Amino acid sequence: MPIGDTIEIDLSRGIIEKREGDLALVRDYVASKGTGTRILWDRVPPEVDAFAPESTFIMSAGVLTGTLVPGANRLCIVYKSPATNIHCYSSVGGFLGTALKRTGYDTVIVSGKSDTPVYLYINDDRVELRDARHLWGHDTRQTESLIRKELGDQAEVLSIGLAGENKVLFATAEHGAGDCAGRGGFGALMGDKNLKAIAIHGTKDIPVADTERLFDICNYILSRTHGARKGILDPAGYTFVRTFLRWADFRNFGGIVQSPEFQEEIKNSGPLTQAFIERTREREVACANCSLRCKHAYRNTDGTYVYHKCAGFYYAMFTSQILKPEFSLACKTLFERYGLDIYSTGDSVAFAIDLYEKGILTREDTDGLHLEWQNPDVYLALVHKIARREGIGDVLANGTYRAARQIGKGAERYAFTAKKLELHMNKIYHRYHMALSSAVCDRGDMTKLDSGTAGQMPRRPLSEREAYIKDGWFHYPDSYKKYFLEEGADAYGNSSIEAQASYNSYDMEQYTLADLSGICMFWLEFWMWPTINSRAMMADLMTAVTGLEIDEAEATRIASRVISLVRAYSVREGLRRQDDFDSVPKHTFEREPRPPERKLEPDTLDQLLDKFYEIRGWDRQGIPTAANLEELDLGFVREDMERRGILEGKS
Amino acid sequence: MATRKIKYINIDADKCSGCRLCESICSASHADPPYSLVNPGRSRIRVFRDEDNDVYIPVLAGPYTDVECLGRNTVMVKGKEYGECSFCRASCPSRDLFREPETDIPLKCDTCESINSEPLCVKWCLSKCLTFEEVEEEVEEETPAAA
Ligand code: SF4
Ligand code: SF4
Ligand code: SF4
Repeated sequence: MPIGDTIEIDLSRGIIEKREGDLALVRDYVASKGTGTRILWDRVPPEVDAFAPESTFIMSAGVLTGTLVPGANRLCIVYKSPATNIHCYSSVGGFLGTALKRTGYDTVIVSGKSDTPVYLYINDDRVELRDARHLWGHDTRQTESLIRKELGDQAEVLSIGLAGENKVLFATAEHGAGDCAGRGGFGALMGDKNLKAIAIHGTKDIPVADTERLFDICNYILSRTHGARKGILDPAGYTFVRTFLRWADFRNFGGIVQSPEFQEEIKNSGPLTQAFIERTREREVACANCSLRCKHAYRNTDGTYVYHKCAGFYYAMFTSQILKPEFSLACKTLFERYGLDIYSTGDSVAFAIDLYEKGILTREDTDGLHLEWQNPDVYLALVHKIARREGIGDVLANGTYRAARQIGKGAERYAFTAKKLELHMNKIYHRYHMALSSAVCDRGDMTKLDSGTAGQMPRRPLSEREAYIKDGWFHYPDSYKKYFLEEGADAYGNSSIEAQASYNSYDMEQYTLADLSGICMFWLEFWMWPTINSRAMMADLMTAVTGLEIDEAEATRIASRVISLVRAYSVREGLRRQDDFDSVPKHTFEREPRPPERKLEPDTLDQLLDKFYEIRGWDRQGIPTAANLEELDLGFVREDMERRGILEGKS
Repeated sequence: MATRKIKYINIDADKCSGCRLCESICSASHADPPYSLVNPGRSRIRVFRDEDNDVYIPVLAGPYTDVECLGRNTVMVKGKEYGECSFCRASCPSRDLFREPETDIPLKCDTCESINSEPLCVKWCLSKCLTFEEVEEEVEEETPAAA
């Protein structure tokens, strides 16, 4: 079967080693997040700090990446996050993954710290560390174009900007048309290693095992993309505007309270934003082999271009309370160039303004800057300070969790994080599936579990749900139809505990398979219309490409293995049930929802967690049991955990 | 006067998303055995891209030439200057483009005739940047059809 080779790089000693791909690893973990986590388990135990020289990250392409499979382009980067101190991974789109596959390698292991700035260049068989002193201090777009001048236009580049160089704990690594390793601070890890960029150019064939089978499935998938497109966006941008309004409402329940006037302004700004999008959006742009093209190119007033996708468009608008889309574009441009996570940065700035308003931060703390909402100069000044770690920016650059503890004076109350990561977007958690997604998500960022079907469908009329099944969009096992058709969901779409926990658990497997295969999650059920719509199809695709017989049951087993391994990794770092529980912000239990919506009670969350852990084979603390680990061939994990006294109960 | 069918692949570059599915399907469908691999380097269509300037232009492989151009021009797109070669369709000794990696055999778009198919890049381009058209055109009988 076609498997790629592995490169191992020690930045401290400048050593590059190559070795053949490991078939056993592929059988058990497939690729990507699976392989990466397996390697991370051995290399980065709790004794190794995220910023220690021994700290290692693993880049691994999805097993379908670069083949004909639509949307299969992901490159997964697995590491211990310096922000959350637990397992973290970033799934990078664009053309990095396909480029890596074409070099003949599919996994790259990087450890150590370089004395001076370097960048890694993988050019087919030639792998080298090149001097990057002349690139240090340049923004991500400049870095990419300078590297392409050196290496040629074909090189695909992932680079950090000032934020990564300064180890801002939510720094990103950026690539091409608006893609990045976004959440969890991978940019800071690169910066700490003095690794300015990774450039890849490959010219080799990407072979597949069973050609006819693959081609047929791909044709079928393409014939159904209208479903996913319908969910993601429509040409006029109406979905975005509508969604924007909904989120705006959500945000009101959040920590950063918006005035009624502002709420009103939000409502009125919908049409304006839409008109702006129609005027300014120049192109729909896509990652490799993707027909969904969810990224949009916008022209800035200075003639440069910036790429936006999904919720990112609105984040600066929310967190600044400046409802001008042109401001949002300017911010996105800045974030991208500095290499800053759009969500964590927005939250951190808003957090600072919020604290200032409450008197917890004063002018003395802010170098004389008077912080206020709706002031573009203040917002941008804070972004600059964060990226450069200047003044208050040096504190905020540690993320709101740590910043709140550094600032003290009750600031903790206003920091909303899940496992130390700023909470993305929806700050209302009365929806069971969102609460549970946020609670059990492996990196604290729920987006990868935000199941459209579980969340939206139950409150739709029965006839609509029946039609959904009839039209072939229902991708859960047949046994789930009873949940799907069950009556009695509340105004949030909450149905029974068992139903919601089952959906979440199944979705977690499905998204894990997406990661292993390298398929962008937008092709799955994220927006309710899953073009790649069954476990069987995922298994078929993997089989066709690898030639290994992976059936539905085996795919599920592999996904379960990876999920338990990831969980065990973070448990070994100290993660427990309470961290899951606290990933649903407390104000969920404090604030009253609007009737007829019902409040999520702490007790309900507990029941959801119990059920979810039970389905996954974990104990009441959310720790995979010895039996679960054995069953999934994770004996080495069980031994390690027992040695550390984590598995006492042996339940 | 006789007529013959002329095949056109029209490119509306404003609709190109830069996804390069066209490159993938072209290289896969022309591989031996069919679909056994993907390699844009073997594709008869390549997408020129410049993300910083929002330029994405698919270029279909055209005729082979054994000598490179003598003069070089420049092309302005959206106020930025590109070398003429960027958008040139020729399989030309000055570059690797449109030549099979190992054999160096020139590649030329055959509108998928050699694989008895409708143009697959067009079919797989869901952005409708590429469209296909067959037009009956009159030809003078004594003139041999131009290549
Ligand atoms: S849906 Fe969007 S992010 Fe996903 S692969 Fe396609 S263009 Fe990239
Ligand atoms: S398939 Fe179409 S949209 Fe995609 S790169 Fe090719 S021409 Fe552009
Ligand atoms: S028409 Fe066929 S041969 Fe020509 S570029 Fe498209 S896929 Fe390739």
